[in-house]
Amino acid sequence: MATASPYPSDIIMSKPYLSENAIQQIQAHSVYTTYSRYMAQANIAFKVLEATCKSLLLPVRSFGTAMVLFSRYCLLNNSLDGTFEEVLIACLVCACKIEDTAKRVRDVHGAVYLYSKVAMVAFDACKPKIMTLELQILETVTFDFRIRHPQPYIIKIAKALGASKEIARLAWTISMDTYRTHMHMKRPPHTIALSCLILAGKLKNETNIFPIKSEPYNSDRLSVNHALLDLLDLYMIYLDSTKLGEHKYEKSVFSQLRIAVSKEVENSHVEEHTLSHEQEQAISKQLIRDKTRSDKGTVRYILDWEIHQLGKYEEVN
Amino acid sequence: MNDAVMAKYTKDKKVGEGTFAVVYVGKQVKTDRKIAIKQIKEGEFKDGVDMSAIREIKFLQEIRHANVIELIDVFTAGPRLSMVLEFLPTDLEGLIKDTKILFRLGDVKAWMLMATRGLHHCHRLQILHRDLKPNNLLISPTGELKIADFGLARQMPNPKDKMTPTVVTRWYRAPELLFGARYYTPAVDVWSLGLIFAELMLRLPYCPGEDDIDQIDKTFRAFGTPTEEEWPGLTSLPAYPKTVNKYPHPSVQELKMRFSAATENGLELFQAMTELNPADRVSCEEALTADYFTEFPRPTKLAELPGRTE
Repeated sequence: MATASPYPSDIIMSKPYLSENAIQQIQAHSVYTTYSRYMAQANIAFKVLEATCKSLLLPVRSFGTAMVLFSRYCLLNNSLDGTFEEVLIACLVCACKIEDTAKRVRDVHGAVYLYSKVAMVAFDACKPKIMTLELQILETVTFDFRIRHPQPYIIKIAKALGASKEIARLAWTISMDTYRTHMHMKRPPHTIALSCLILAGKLKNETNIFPIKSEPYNSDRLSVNHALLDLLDLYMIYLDSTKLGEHKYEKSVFSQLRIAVSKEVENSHVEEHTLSHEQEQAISKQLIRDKTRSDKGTVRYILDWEIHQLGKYEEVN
Repeated sequence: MNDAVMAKYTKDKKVGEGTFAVVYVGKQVKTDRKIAIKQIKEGEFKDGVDMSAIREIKFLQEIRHANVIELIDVFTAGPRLSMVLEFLPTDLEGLIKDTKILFRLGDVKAWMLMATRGLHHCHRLQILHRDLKPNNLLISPTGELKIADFGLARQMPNPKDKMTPTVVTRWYRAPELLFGARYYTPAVDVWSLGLIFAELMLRLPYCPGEDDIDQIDKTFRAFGTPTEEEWPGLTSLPAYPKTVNKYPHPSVQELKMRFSAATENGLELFQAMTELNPADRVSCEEALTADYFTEFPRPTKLAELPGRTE
């Protein structure tokens, strides 16, 4: 630990990506303490936000950003600071601002309550809470608005692979399902896109696009495989509530694929980075957002490349 | 701002107040560097954090260029959100209005060069500024020109994304925006820059329309009324007026009269930047290679530019 900074202010660096291990560690301290509890809520959030975005004629990227904000907020905070619906409204309002598709908060509020199965709370009653939540969400993502989505990459990679339109369409559907998971915190969008296309190709039995090399698409085979495992895990358990579930695939298809992929991952002999118990504790403590931090002092938010411009006494979290 | 920040930055005095923020000047204690603190107003959130604040943070965080304002920090203290920006005491509008200052040809060239470079960098990063005007071109204490106010900026759209045409301050609004085009290109920023060029030469706004309709008329009067042949698709734009006054395009002779001090290359660049049809307008990259910038007189050195405070 560096010597204490002469200034009682904190610096937080944006961490757009987290490892599988870190996510598991943090999960226990977060809003939903287990993955299955999180997934149950994420599935509801997905349905409500999807219907809301459709009715407000919002583009896919606004929906995607809202889901990414939702999953980050749930993972990196230790409690919901408002009702579930208020959090959804705040996430979507934020996403709209980030993606430049601004909507009135009142309209978002109306639509979210329309598609949730709970009684409507009057707008004026929850507005202050939504406003507070919005700032909290911005702090949770540390004002890092570099949220990119896999969909444009699906189109481009599908073209490059010469895949059929059905494959691309199916991959697109799969990519929508990724927003339920933590994948967007673990892998960059082009790797997610590639894994969606591979799964679509396998499901449609389109052999002409295989074998696919990952490197030309700036991904490595191992991370694509890990992304595939995440996808297959999702479909093995939650197939019926996903969008792919509408396509009538047997769950056994996914478990067979999973066996093949996990065998390859195991055989790749990559040293796993294991952390000691203390290290893991330290990580999860740091990553959960301290809600009182910005009340006690000042928090300064930086992006990774800005770290080189800091003075040597400044300690970064 | 709370005590913690006071330790790192000093907040000296309030220098301005906009619709969504209060601006203070201060100093970065460690480096003694002058800075501006833009504090987003609290309690006046109509729809939460202002969209322009989000846009400004989103874009400025990723732009680093000598001719674009630097966002040094984003802070939250309690419920308040503050941005720490580079301190830029003067703007081009102030210089233009200050009749005591004489602009030399090289001064105008230096400013145009810096503005075009900054804008070129934004366009290269796929960012449209959408609010260029002399007021938003700030001058640093050392005389450098920097593009500021990214409150209306946006990412260049995907091919089918509609955008709002009600951007850019009216006097600097490109004709395609005046006609309500929902699909437009970086050329809208180049048009604004062209009009700023004219304003630098004349020391007066070139197309000061009183309202949107008058703006169309003034634009046509200054640049001629375009025809459907010159600009295919023109008359089918959403807000193209039913009746327009026909004005001839100004001849080179006419332009020379209007801008008596300008050189031929200067006028050529001005004309290229203010082509009515956005498809024919120059890009920033092409503008930077214009003969105007390489011919005599050379752009004035920073140390000799008016408006410096150091």
